[in-house]
Amino acid sequence: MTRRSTAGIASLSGVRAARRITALFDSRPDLARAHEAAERSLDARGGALEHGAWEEALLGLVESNLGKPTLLAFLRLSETWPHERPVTQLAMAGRSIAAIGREAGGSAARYLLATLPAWIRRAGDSQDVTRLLASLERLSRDAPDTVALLAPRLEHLLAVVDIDGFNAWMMSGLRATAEDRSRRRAYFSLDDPLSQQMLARGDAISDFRCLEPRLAAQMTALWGLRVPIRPAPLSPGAAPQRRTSFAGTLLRFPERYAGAPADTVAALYRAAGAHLGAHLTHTRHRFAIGTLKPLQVVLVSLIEDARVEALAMRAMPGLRHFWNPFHVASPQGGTAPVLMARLARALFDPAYDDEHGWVVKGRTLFTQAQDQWHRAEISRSLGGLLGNDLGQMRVQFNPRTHIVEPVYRDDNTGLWDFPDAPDAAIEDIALMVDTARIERREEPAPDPTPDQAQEPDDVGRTRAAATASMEGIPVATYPEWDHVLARDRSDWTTIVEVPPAPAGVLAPSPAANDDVARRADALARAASIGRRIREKRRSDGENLDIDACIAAVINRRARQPLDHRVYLRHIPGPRDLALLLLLDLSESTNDADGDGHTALMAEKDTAEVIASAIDVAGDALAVHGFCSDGRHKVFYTPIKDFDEPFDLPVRARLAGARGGFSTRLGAAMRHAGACLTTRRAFRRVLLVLTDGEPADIDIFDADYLVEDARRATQALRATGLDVFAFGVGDGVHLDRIFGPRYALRVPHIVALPSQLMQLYARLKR
Amino acid sequence: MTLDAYRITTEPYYRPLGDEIALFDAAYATRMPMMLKGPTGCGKTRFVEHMAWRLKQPLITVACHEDMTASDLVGRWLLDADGTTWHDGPLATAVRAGAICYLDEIVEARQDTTVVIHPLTDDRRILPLEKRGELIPAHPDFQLVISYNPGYQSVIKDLKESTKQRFAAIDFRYPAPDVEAEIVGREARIAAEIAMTLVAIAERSRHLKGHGLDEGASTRMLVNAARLMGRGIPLSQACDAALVVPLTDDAQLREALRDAVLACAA
Repeated sequence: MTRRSTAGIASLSGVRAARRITALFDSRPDLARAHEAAERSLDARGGALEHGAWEEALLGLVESNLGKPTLLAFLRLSETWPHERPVTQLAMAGRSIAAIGREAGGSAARYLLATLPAWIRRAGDSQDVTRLLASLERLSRDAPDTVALLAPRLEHLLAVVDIDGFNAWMMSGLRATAEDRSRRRAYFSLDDPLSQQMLARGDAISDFRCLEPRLAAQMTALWGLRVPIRPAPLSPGAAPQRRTSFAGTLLRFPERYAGAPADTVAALYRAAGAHLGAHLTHTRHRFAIGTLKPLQVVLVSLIEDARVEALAMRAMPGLRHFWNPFHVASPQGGTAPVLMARLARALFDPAYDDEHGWVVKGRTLFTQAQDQWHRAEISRSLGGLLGNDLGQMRVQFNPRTHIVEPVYRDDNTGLWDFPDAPDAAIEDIALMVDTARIERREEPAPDPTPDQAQEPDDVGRTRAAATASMEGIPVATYPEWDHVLARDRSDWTTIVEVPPAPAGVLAPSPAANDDVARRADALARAASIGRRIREKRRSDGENLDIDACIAAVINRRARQPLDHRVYLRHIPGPRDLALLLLLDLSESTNDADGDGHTALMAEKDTAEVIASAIDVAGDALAVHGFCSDGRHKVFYTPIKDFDEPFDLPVRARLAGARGGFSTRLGAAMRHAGACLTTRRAFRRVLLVLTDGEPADIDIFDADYLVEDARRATQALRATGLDVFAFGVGDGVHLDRIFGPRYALRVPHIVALPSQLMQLYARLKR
Repeated sequence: MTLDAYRITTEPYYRPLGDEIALFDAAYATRMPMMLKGPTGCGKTRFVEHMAWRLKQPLITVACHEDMTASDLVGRWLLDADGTTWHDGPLATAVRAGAICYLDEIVEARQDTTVVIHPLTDDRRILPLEKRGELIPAHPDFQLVISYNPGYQSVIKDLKESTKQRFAAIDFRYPAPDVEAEIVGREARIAAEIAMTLVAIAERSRHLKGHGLDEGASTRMLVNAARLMGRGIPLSQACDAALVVPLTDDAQLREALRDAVLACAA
């Protein structure tokens, strides 16, 4: 082995590292060769300081003992390191990967190295790279098993969110899945729906997220439509969707429009939203594909786009300004996509001049049909005709790579009814479907991920863990009231605290709930519960302050200066309310009504609305759940504690709550009361959400637990707590336990605000 | 006592939308308490003024607010050189001297305040001044009119059932588009097609009621926008100043409203 000079290295430690590496690689010719090649490549770029840092990073990797493949991967990466990227980033990555490898093992390091060029490209500037590497190091410390899973998906993740978004997603994931390893693995390999949701709903920032509220408001304002707006779904590895799409009334927008200049992004989303609105308003039925050829399908869609826009502009002429900037086709070029863009512009823009025979024909036919624009059939017939013509012109058209232009238009999947009849010519149909769905097919499916083989097993384990998780810690015992003996049985029930069930998936709330939530928010914010304060000696007020009046009269008689502040008034004091929401999580809550809605779902919806309202209002709130399995096992689950914010992980925990076992209400209420009494507040409220009356497996006297719960209610009220119950679902009778004025029925979530108002009204006294 | 300051001498413009004038005339004939319901800026106050002018009665208007107490309505003791003196509030003045008393946005007032009108609104027609130990029988010309916006905040602020049931009610809505354009055109003296565009914009903003906005753009706002345009301000700026910015502080909603303005502009 020849000793290479270390002339290209400027730092002493760098030189030392280089020498040491050369010595270590002396007996391993393949590594030495790779090292030399990498050094040569780095030398060629100059930058003696960076080179030194690189040698140190390499030494770190060697000393971390991550195996030869890792070292080879790093050396190969160094040799081919792109010129536009500084070597310092490579050195930085090397150092971080050594640290990650020490925590998460050589294979994690290798996966990261293998995918590094792809994801580092997404990270932007050096500062971003530093932060990203720091996050990955942190992940390797807190959840070493997830790094290898995450590596192949990093590029995709970073295409969707920026570094802040990535950090938020990662931290939420660590919090949400803290005690469940298999869940955590699923989360970080993007297989867990919660993970996707966090990515979508968390603090992740994409263009769409920034504009989402505006798009929703625009849709409502312009079209009077209140429809769900969602980002295009992420499928790991697949290319992100590049156009909007709609299915029924569900609208999907790309997270980003790649390549759109920053100053036109808002205008582009606005145009896209308006186009979808025009479809929802004027495209009444889907077209059947029938015997149409792919080219015809595309052209029918194009005519339909032009038709709905023309109709929309009749009602709102200003919409032209929305769409106009994106029609940029010029009368040159003869490939199919170019001709279609030209036709799209010709149909949209009367001032556009285009001599091409086919474009002229399309425009003439479309204009002639002006009186028929309200009929969707003209799109079908015109599109079919023009598609046929274009087909005969023998222009190149590849349905698999076709993309709708102009960019604001949707991908047209929402226009077509895809038949699923098996006896039709299946291949043709597949192609039709492809034609309309091409955009998602552009890139090949990703390589299988390293852990896919294990996944079924993981799912099994998740389930096993869920059923076993009722093993909790006994935390307290409480007496129980025996109404037959008319005495308390001391230490009769045992509270077993169990951790919350694995976090669930946050279902998008129905629009009706949004409305209820909004009203509940306003209600909670307006109803500040606190001590009323009597202010004396005011210059204005309801009544005269007699003491001040007497003083004033005395002063006047004594010819002293007069104080005119002689009034008295009452003002509300600062907010001071602590509320504990106790959820009944017994088996009976799983019973579904005719529509498949369970009481548990209703409870969760109600809890979600109340909790977010109270959280927004700034009052203290805890959410606990309970069920029971005999008197020795009254399971008690803290879903949200007073000091936690009501954020996504907590909501996911609430969504994951499941029903099982029975309802020993009294014992759970006593424990909840004990939790509440530790809070200092003007009003302390225990609010029980339940679907029915108490019952347990060891109790056969129907009155026993009812009487016990009644006793518990009275005892809690005697200590100064306010105890209320919301009966969720139909036909719940809680009057006996809570008293008719405190047992409020919420047969449906729509009834919630008025019941909440009653609750506040009672609390105000 | 003379209430001349409260008399309306020139006719306030009011465009009837239905038979509300005949209804109010009939109600006044029996001094029936009236409740006017409807969103803000749709013409409730203008209607009362118009009716007061028609009936040649003085009109005492009280804008109700959250901190308003019963004393603010009926009166209070004040301290003066010789001790305490009683001062009638606006309601007591109207009751004594005979006027139409109009309590605007009554739901804003605290619930314990609104109960002072109860003895006035049934067949007793008296106003007890509890603090003074006096009972004022209502003047034969006295009539009570309240207005009430059954809008968004009505979950929190609603009239007590016992208050509601004392009144006959007229429901006001935003007028039909052509009528609204007529009103806007006449109030602001602008061309009909500009008024139509403004009404179209208002309709879009009303779609957002309950979905971000507590209330859409009112007729009053349209008149304001039209007046600005009459002074040479272009449509988009006039709408920005008179509609978009007053309606909401939410940047995204403002953008959506501006989109609506742009979409409706010719």
